[in-house]
Amino acid sequence: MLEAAWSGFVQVFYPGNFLSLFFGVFMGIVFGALPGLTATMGLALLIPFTFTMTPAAGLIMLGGIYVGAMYGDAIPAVLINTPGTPAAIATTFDGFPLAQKGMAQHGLVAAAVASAYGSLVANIVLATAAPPLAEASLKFGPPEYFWLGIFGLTIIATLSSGTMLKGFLAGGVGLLLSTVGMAPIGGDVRLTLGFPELQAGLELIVALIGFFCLPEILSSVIGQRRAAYASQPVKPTLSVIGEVIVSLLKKPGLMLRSSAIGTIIGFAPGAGGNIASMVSYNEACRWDKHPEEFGKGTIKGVAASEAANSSMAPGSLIPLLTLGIPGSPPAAVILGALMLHGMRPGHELFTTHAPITFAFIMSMLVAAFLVTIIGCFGSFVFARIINIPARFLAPAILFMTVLGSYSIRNNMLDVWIMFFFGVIGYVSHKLKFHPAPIVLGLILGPFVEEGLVQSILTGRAAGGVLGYMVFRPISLILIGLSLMSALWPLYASWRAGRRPPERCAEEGSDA
Amino acid sequence: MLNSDLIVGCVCAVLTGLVYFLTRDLSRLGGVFVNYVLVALGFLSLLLLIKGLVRPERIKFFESAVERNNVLVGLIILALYLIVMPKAGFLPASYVFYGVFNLYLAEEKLKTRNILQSLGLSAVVVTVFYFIFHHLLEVPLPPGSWFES
Amino acid sequence: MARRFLTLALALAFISALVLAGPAAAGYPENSIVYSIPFNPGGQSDLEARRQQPLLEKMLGVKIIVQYKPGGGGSVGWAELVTKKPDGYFISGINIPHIILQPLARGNAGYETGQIVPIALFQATPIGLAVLKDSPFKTLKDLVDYAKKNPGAVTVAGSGTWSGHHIAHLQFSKMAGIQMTYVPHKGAAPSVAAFLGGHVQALWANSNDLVQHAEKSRVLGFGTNKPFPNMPEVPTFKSQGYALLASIDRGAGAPPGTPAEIVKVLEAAFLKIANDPKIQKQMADEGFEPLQMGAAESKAYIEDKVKEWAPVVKEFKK
Repeated sequence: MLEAAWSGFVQVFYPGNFLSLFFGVFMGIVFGALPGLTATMGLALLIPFTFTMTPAAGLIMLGGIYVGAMYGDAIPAVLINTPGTPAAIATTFDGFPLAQKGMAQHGLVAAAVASAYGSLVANIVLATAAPPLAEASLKFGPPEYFWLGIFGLTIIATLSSGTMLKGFLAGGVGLLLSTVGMAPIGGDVRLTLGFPELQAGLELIVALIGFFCLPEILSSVIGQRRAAYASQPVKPTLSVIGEVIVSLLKKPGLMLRSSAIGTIIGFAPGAGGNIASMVSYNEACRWDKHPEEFGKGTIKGVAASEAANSSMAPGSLIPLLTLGIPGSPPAAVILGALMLHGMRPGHELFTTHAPITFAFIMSMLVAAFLVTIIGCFGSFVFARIINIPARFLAPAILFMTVLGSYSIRNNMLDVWIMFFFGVIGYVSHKLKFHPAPIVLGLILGPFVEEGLVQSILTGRAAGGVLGYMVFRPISLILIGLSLMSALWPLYASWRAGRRPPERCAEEGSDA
Repeated sequence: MLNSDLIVGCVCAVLTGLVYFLTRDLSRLGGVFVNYVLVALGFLSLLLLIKGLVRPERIKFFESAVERNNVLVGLIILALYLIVMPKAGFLPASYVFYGVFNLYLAEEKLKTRNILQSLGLSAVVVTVFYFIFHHLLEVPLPPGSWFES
Repeated sequence: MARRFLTLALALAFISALVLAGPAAAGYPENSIVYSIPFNPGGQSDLEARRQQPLLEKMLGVKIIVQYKPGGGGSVGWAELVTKKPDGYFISGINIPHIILQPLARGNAGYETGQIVPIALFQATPIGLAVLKDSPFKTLKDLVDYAKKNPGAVTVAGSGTWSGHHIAHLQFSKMAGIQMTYVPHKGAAPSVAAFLGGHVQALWANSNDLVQHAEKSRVLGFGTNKPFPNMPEVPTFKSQGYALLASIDRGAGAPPGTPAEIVKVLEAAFLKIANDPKIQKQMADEGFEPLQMGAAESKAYIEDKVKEWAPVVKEFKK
């Protein structure tokens, strides 16, 4: 296997392959960075290009896109408080405050380095332990998904600024919003209010843009007529890059833990990276010596989030390559590409097609390095974007978000939903609660619901729902984690005596 | 000074009630999750309302009337853009929107020079993105019913 | 003067004739055609469209733009299809039984089955019932006997509610006089994952998934007329006494009111691809059954299926 890995590694550097890798990473960064465009969309749009390439070059390009997008989404998260893809939500928590302090370049470099780190770790795992991990991933059944969703929801306890009560309420609203559309079980059409397009439910990205991007523009640029997006302009320098890299490498615990979280959550088929970054951020805050720094602009927060969402990508390919079950929507598109080139997932991939498969895996390793290079040097250019006066930047951003919201599902209703969520996000800002829990509810709702109802069905057939749902190894672990996560704030405040509990509050930029 | 707890609590309570009535016709499996969430929401809303009466968190919504007007005008411009776009087509509406917004945010008066500058910049920015999205990436965009043959 | 007037009149007449002539006369197709897929990219419908795209472009001489409009199991895409102009420049992938069951089962799916004008059906994915290799059920009879004694105890995973799998489950349960618990999932991949992980006891699966996981599973029955070529040793439901024909079929459809001449052009292109032996072999290798049904044949097939399934939906929908 080591020779296969080595030969795969060498193959990546053949001119044709390397060129397509570079192209892929670049396009991936672009797609990740433009809010409204996603990695999935990028992959789908560029698949036709791969028809004219060799299978190796084509897959390498797609791998590059995936890896690039997992870094690209941090760029708008840091600069304009808008996650480029749902996986970067947690990056806004500390990324945007960094930009506000004039440290946008720090944030971008941290994102690039952490993305590469996470990618590296996950690819090594993928290359060495894929088949047994895939078998383990199959053990995730309905109860596991339910408890994973519940665990995700308990993050709200630590993430809410303002009262925990408002945070959970927001989470509940998010759960309710997630029920709009077709019920996963039962097929009922719920809460579509007469709009057939809503049968598909609310589009997550539209909600993200609405809740994260618009309120920022409305409050600072429009409301307070701030001249520039950030309170302080950014002056990118070369030394910042070295500074950030060194300080992150001095924190192996943070980096490894975040990468591990991302890889594990990545291979639970379907869970995807949307929650990986938030869980990782939460854990980073929990175990840090100075949790109060989180939310006010520290590269630790950005690193935790980005390492996790980048390690999720190779993780989601584990069940894909071994069993043909995609662990995330972009992985599903890659599955399509594999099938189109006549490569069936499973044993075959690692035996008959081994050269191509390992070239693919190794290419993602190399892509991680490319991302660091492009990201670090790109940070000079990207960071300066927010120095552009707001009166030029803001309309452009609004125009692009409209474009993005429309192009996801080709309908105008989504754009109006974005507008509506924007207003709600703005109002929630003013009423002192961060809209992030709403988005969390929106993301986790389907997991919790599907897990719950499927467990009810299967549990009833097996004799007892509660017994079925609780007494399983992975479920017990997740239940334990959930309890710990929910009760931690209370424990922390008890330990701290009279002082108010240190929470990973994400203070809005100027709420 | 507004009582933020009461406001949020009320809104959530109303939402809970509304959704409750809209979802009474769901099948058993389709509605079980919704019911659980409604119960949780209702309970939490009640708690928040109680907190709002006992130990409220007061906030000032708009710092000034100027801020309020700014935000409202900004929202109206955006809304107009969204209303006009399906009718006039993506490109024309976007050109106008960018230009108008740019002028609105600028602190200077409306001189002809400013207007032209603004529209010129708008043309460049909008066209570049339009080209990339529509022609390079073949993403479909609203055609505009006024111009549809 | 009169000559000039005559020339002008002739010119005007010529121009108006060109303008007023219907699209068929003007030489369809002239502009690029949008091929809308009502599912997510990477799915089977997408892969089929991609397979056809270069060939369609060559045959029709215009660009084919593949677009995605996912949601509602396809209903969002079909709801859009029926609002489009019937000029042949917007077509959509269609799936049986989806376009039949969705309007039947939902109050408002956004479209009616009869509104869609079928162009062709080019792929069938027979549905089979499988258990894991180490399952105690060695034959279909074992499963049925057990289910008779333990109503509701057997859990079967499938993709979607009121979908091809669900309807097959309902029909089979009725025919065998048993009660099994259908556990729907959000797609074929999650249901296969649940099955492989042992979270359910049986699986309704598409033929291509069954071919892929043949080593780990045992297929108890296939919903075809004759044994499935890729797995000839697997008995059909028919041969075991259950008149169940279950499959998910893919094709292409056009908006309501599309003129017959345009449909003919599209149908010819799709059928040419469907009759291409290379394409047929590709499909068969992957575990699909190539079809070559033209517009009229597809329409009749759809109408038959509506008659077959309407009573089933009515009976089980509570």
